[in-house]
Amino acid sequence: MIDVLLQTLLNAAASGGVYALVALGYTLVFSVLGVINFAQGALFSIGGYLTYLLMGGRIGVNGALPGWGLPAGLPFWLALLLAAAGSGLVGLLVERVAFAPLRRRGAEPLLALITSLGAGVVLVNLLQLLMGAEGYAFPEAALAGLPNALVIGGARIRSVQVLLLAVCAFAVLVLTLWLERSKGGRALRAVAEDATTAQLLGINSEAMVRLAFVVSGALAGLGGGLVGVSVSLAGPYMGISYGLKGLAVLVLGGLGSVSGAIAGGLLMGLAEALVPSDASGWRDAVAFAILFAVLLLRPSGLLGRRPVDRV
Amino acid sequence: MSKPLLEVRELSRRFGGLLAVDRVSFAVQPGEIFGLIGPNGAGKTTLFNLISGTTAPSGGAVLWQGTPITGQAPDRLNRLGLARTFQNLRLFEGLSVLENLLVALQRHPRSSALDGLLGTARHRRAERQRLDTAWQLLQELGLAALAERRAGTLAYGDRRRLEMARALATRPQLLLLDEPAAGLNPAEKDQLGELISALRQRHQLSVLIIEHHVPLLMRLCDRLAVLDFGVRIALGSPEQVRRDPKVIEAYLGSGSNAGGRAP
Repeated sequence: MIDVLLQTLLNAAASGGVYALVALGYTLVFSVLGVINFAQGALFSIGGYLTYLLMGGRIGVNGALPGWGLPAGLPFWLALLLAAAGSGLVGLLVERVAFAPLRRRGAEPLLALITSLGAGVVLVNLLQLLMGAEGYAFPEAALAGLPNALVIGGARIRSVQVLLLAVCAFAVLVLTLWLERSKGGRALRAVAEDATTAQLLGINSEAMVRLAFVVSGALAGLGGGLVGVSVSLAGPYMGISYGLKGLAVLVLGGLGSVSGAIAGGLLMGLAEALVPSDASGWRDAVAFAILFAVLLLRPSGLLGRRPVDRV
Repeated sequence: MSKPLLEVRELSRRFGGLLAVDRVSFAVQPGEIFGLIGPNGAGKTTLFNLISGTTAPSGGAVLWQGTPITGQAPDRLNRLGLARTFQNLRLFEGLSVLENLLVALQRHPRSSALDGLLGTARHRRAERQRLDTAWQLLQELGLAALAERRAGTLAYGDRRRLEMARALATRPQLLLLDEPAAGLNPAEKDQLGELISALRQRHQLSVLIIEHHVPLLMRLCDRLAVLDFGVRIALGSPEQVRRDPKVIEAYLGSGSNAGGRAP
């Protein structure tokens, strides 16, 4: 019984952590530009597939280059880091293509919803063209050296979930420290509050916007790689559902709030994990019902009212 | 006279049918405190926006030490040595008082993001220097006791001084002050003049100041320009401006006393 409880809580925290990563990605971009980057889900997929490829995974029969793969695979950690960096760069590309031109021309900011959605669809389709629509499982050796299960207090739990949770927690910690303590984080928060004033103080606001997109893309990519290794790559569209869930978490936690995104992610993970597995079809319904309930009580989200928490 | 620090040449800005700034020219000399007065709506703040780069001019030029800088981005202008404050304060209200200054000190001294990531000695030294400078400024402007407070929670007079400290943190040669006395109580207004003179001395500043509180400007400024309906109607020493019939007309003649007392 304790097994089940512990495993359930761990699952909750692990998937909640991934949701938090995605939601934090939205938060960063939202806080500097006041818009949602709808390509976030696609960047999540890209992170997953990049991790797979960098570890030496081969392209399936429906891909553009069936059977092709890197001559040598990297260890999981390195592959994950590089994939996150790669997703960050694609995030930057999305900014250049879908956001920057509109901003330069002073277009209505809401238009970026459509352009970023478009960019996301293109990216997912490219992924499908290259890799095919089928799912991929990571090589067995992906986490060689990691035991399949850990025994904690007499309870056996899947170790990959522990790993997932640890990486998410670490990423969130680094991000928060960076935002709170570092020079770049400070500048980003200043731009988030008032881009014009920041610029009048000599900060290159445009560069900070680009930075926000890189970090945001990297967070999504990290989430994709982690889900890939713990479950599998379900197909190029896998990121879309995580993107949507992240969006719900963003709203749940309060738009633009860092701690809200983290709290929202964990709550969403918990809500899903508490749905018994024989009713797993109801998982999303339960999660979104909680979203509605919270918004009825607190329209600005869990932590949306506290300007302190704005990035 | 040496080359002016800032020169505004025939500068204009049109908003639809309204000429908010109409071919205005003047120059600020190094070390000078230069005042801009005029009734409300005379185009003073628009002129500041044109100079600091947040609004693009419709015509004319801005020169910095003789070099054209018209239309450059605000962050580039700030790096040249131009900083400003706002009539209706624009602090980073969610950041602490200290952080407001640290943001402005990003480039003093420089350190790269890589240094920061690696936590190199250079980076730590740079951060320490930034902190030192920030504390110095806080002390200079009497804000040290408030360092950890969120800027949004400060009293009005403290906010005004914080905005000045923040502008100074970027090490400007020219400080643009947009109605720094607005909202201050009489005692604070009196101190403001001394503060600005002291800051000019200690930071080797030139100051371009918009203010409705005319006695303050008369005492403080080396020279003044008077704007009315976007047009510069007078320019000279406080004494010259005070006697200028056009100025008296602008303030009293048209029945508009929106700008306050006659100089």
